[in-house]
Amino acid sequence: MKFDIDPSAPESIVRRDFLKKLGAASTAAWMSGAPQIVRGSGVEHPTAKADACILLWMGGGMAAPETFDPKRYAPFETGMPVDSVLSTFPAIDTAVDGIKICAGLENIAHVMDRGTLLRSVVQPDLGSILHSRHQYHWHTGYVPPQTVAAPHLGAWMARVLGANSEVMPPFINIGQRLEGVGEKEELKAFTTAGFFGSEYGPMNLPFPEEAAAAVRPPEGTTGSRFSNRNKLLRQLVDRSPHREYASDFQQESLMRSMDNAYRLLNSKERESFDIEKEPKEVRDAYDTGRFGRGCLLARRLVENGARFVEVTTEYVPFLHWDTHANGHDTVSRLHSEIDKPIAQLVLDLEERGLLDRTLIIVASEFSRDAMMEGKPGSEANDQATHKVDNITEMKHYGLHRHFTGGSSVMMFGGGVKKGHLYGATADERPLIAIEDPVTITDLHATIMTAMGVSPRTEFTIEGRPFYVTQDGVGKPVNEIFA
Amino acid sequence: DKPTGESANAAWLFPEIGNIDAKAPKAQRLKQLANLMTHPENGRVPRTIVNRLWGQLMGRGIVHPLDAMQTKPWNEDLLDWLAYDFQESGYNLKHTLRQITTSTAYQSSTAAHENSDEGTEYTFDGPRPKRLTAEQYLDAIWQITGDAPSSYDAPVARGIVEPALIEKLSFESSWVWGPSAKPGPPPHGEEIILKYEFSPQKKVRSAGLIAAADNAYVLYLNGKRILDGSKWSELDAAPVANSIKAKNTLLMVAENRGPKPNAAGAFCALRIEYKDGTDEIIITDTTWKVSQTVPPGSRPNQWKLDELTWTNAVPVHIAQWKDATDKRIGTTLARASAGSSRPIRASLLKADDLMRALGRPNRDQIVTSRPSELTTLEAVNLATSNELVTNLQAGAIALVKTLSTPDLVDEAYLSTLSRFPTESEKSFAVAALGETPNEAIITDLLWAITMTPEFLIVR
Repeated sequence: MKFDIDPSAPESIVRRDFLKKLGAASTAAWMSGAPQIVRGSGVEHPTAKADACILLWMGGGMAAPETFDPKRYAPFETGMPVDSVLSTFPAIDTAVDGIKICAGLENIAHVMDRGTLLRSVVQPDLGSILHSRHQYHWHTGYVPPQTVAAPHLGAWMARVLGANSEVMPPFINIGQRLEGVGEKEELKAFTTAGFFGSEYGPMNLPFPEEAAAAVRPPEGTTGSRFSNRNKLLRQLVDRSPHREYASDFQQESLMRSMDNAYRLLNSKERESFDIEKEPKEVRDAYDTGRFGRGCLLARRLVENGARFVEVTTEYVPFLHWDTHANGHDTVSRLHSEIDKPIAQLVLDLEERGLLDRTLIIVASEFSRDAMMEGKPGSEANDQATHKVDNITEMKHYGLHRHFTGGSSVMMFGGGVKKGHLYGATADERPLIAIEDPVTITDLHATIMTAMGVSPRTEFTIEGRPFYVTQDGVGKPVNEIFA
Repeated sequence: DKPTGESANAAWLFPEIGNIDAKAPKAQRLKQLANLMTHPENGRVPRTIVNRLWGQLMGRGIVHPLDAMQTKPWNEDLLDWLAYDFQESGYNLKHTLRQITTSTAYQSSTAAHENSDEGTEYTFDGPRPKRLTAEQYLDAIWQITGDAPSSYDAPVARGIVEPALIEKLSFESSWVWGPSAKPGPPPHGEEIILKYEFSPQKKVRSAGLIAAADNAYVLYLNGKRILDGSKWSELDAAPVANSIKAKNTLLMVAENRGPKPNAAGAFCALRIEYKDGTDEIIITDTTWKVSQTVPPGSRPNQWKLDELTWTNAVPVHIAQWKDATDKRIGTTLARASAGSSRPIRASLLKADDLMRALGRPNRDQIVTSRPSELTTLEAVNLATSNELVTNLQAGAIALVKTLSTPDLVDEAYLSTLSRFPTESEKSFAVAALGETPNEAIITDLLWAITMTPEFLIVR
């Protein structure tokens, strides 16, 4: 980094030292620095199996029997009883003997041998089933409401592991609008770095095709005007008589943030935000919609040093995976939206030699069932739109109730076994996990272990210990690691 | 979250000073709560309040963190005294603010410090430097560039409204329509323009505008859209002193909706207060002109009003309209007048991306204090913000019109930092601008100055 300092100005000699110190400290903010508030980790971290994590979030409750855990197939027949519906899609073979998934996901079937499928992930009983509550729990490890702002998993990784690059923001969130959509307050509640402070917060890019604009200088500012403007700033700071307060940490941290920002906007990594820079054939392979484009963006960002990227199909109440009616037709559309991009993401990373060190997770806040709300013993309210005993129209045909007794999580790369199946659910209703159930807390422990973070990592905030897995009790499912 | 079958009763946290009757109706419980909050023996509430005020002014609370009131204050006597003084003043926030800001403590030089968290030991060594909040930053930019927005997002009553004024401004509404109202009823789908021209002879201090119409209207003053509404039972209002010129045209485009011909009417009142203390009130009446033809588009400045046929407005009397609006006229007009002479402030506008980039929190997140550090992501937003550049560009344009380089640099520093540039700063800036600077380079200079710690941090 060059500073154009006028050597003839006497003050600048002293200033130069300060700025040099500032330059070295510039990388500090995102690199794992000394904890500020807190006691921090006195724990032993496991050896990382992955350097980056991509969470492909199927927001709204992805029905496992319609995707990764097919059950007996009942095609639509007018008058069919609702309780005869387990899956509305037939099963297809995959690249792994003994694992079948649902028709519609042929491309993902082709790459099943690159990862592990967990079919027995269970959700806690949180009373009446609210998406926001389960999403918050999934993303932070804690059940809302909390008196402390709990950080998102991505913020934990950013804070504990630091950034993977000097310029790339460590935590990026793609595809979810946080304004102008329903339940935006609940979404914002967990899409945050919480008590870590917004330095570790996500960079939100709701529209992948517009991501480039987030790191582009203002309109009308050509490359040289932009860098000259920054030089102006540095010179004014350098020459300001205010410099006498050089020891003020607040001033330092301000300039450090400006410095970091400028470096990002001036870096070649900035180009990774622009999916238009991919060759057309590649873009077409991913371009099934916003989610698909988001997968391509995620790949580019991870290639350039992002630590944690979440790409979501977007949670909007009653839309997409949140099927309370028209389940079959909607999921059919979602199949085509996710199938090719997810498979392509796996293949592209593999081709670039990055798959083994990148953990890709496909998950959702809970599963669905045609009849049961919650799980056996739950008193949750039935939230299906049409409560019928017999299906007479397509709008009745699908899995329209929230099911928390057993769900699927797919993991690719990141040191997990290839072509492995873990856990199982029953073949008849209730489709609960009957073999090797995995709690969300243990799922978090598994993810963190893969990334090289001890599940007991703890920070103290307002006198209260907060852990990366709920209360520090998460146990990783080591069996799925190679 | 799981039902236990038991219900909790309403109760108060500190029963030592009293309680709330859980069985009383809500209005009564609220009154009881209010009394408990301001009970003379409630030491907690006044201490919490004065701690916040101190924290906001000094950059660090007497109790730190601000919302951890169980923590030992660094000076118990100070907290006690301020709390007592606040109570004695009748819980007058401005009184306490005045106490703090006129104190030697507040007016001491700002203490530089190495680290944000000094652990448990803290000695007051002066106010802490504070970063300008998002709203303060934008207000400052708007003041420098003269580029503040011209209206609030939602009608805001600002300023204290004297009951005497409300009394004075209470009068009956007067509704009018076009010739189709005599005998009427006017056809559905009809659109008319009501026009009034006026030229105030004296200097204007404040002006308030109110309007309503059955069924809908848009109101323009000198071509600028000021108000619109679609509920005849609701009176819309706006302060308009800033929009009044030497010669003025009020245009009200009103529409009659419905499945068949029905009653239609429009009401508008403009109250002007002159600097000499006198008043003038303009109300829709038969001196207003009506055109039954409305030119297309929403840019009245482009309409050729002389080419339209104008007749006198026709009075219309419908009891429901008067019942709905008359009793509100005094308060609404008084409020609109009171608010009109003040500049638009960012804190009374909806948050936008730029404000969020500067740290304005979401409305739905409760924060007791804002982080003083500018994060990297916020800095990225500031560096890429088009809006900020547009604001500063307006200022740059104004500067380049009137001043040449060396004076321009002086003016830039004076208006932003309230001081002349030093030799070193000036020589650099003059060289950077060159002899004939364009607005781009001046915009960038203004951007750079407003990004320096000296501008962003309050000492």
